[in-house]
Amino acid sequence: MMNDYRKLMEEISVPEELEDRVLCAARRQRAEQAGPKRLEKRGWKPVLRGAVCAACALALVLGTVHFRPAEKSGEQPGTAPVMTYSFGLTAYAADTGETVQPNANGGLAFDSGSGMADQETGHYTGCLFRVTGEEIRTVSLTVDRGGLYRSETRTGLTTEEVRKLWQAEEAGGSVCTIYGKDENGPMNAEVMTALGTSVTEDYDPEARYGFWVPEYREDPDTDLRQAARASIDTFDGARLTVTVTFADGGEQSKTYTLSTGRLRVEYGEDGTRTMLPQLAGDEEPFVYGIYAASEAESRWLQWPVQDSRTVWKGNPYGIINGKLHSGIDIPADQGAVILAAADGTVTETGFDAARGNYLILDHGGGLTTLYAHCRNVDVKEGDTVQARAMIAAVGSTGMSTGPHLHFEVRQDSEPQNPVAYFDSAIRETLKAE
Amino acid sequence: MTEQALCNAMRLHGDTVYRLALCRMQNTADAEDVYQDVFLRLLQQTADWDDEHMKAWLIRATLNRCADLHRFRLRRPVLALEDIPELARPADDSAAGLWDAVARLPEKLRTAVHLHYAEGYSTEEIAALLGVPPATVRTRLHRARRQLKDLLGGIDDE
Repeated sequence: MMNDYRKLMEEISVPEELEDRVLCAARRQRAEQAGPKRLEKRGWKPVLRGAVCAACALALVLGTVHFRPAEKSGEQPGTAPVMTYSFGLTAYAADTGETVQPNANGGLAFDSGSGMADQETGHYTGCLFRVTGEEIRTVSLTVDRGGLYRSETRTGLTTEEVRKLWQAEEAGGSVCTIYGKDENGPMNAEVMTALGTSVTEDYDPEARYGFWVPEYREDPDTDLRQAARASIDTFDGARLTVTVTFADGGEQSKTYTLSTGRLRVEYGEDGTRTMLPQLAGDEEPFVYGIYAASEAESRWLQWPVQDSRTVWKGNPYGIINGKLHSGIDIPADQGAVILAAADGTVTETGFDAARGNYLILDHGGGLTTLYAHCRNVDVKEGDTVQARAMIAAVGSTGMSTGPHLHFEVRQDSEPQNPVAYFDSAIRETLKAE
Repeated sequence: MTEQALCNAMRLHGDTVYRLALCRMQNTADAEDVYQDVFLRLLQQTADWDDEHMKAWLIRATLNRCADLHRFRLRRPVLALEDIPELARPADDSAAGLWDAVARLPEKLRTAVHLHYAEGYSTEEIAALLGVPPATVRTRLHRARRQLKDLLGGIDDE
């Protein structure tokens, strides 16, 4: 219902003549005041463009990078060539300059404050990431759709240096946002350089890379947000390959599958914003963005209940009233079929007052799943099960007020947010109720 | 602020200001006046805001301006959706009903509903915009939802 209200409001826009009316009034007012002349027009241009882009960035820009941190070295020497070094991606938050480490399933949401879009130079989405690791010598990035750009922050620029940046911008290939406290003091600049679909360069731990759409059509009839979303959707289904070479001559490559969508945002008590690697429900705050999943490293699970794609939002994963709810609740009919989320072994079945009938599956590599409040459990300890095998039936045993499955995912016994373990194809079908 | 910056601000946030003013004033002429007033005031500002701050300033200015105009009115008529000339496409019955139900909400509830559902602000953000505690905003949203449900005749799709 309230979603309808948003859609309804989106149908209403400012009457065409109103903007002109305000501009006329503004000019009249200006003429009457005839105040001191402000900045000349050229000086304002970058600031203006920055403002336009900040809107895109805030509204739309964010990405998530999934990757599993490298296993402790030597853990699996037989199966893979021993890597002396490893690398990963971290999200980069442009507003605070902080990098964000991955969490559940390597899931990681990242935020940016400085994207930019215009017709001539394309759409700099503001989705930024950094390549991190030890002893990296060179980095190669390739994306099979759209393009990439490098983003740098320069501070304490003199007027002369700012002029040079503008000249470079006019020559093409890079764009910049200039900002500063006042026009006479030192200025700062965000310089964004388009790299095309592929780049190889010496490793710079400070370098930030972002996703770039070369063709950005600015259509005055479409909403700015809609246009930027459509542009970001360029990367839906694209693949990003990151290859690094290390000081010892070794080389490592990872491929990430990108997808785009409405990602959930949570606001903390102190006003901080956290991006979550999960899709937003209809009425939840969200940011439109890109997220990525490492093809080789992420562990994906199957949805554990047949015929129900609902996650109960009244009791989500996370800390509520100081208590950790260590899983998600999936309401379903009494007797609905519970499926194994992945291949594994039954390590525990039983009954207790809290969890009712439950079972735990071990999927190897420290990953376990727990299924609680079952009406009955159809497997016994030691059984081997395959993904999507029927293992139990939904019930309401233990501390439960209605038939549902309490589903937990743990990595090395630490509870993780289960939603991060479903790939985008599954997440897109989930409903929060 | 330059004229170009003003154009830019209108392009970015014009709809936000206009929709909020329309929701509050329930009258297109008043909404247009509020719109003009708010952006002329913006032109006088010299602060170097980032975009989100500017939007927050615009929302506060819009609400203040609406409140000023309301002081001259004792009873507020409700605007029918089909009387809004700028609709992108003709309104259907359910949209008109919803618009009407929201329009009949008390002002405080309506403002909270509009900012939350049309503009996507969180309760904490709305609290900051209105200068009231977040719990108050949550209460207003809750009451608004309940009243809407009553007004819309028990359509239960929460």
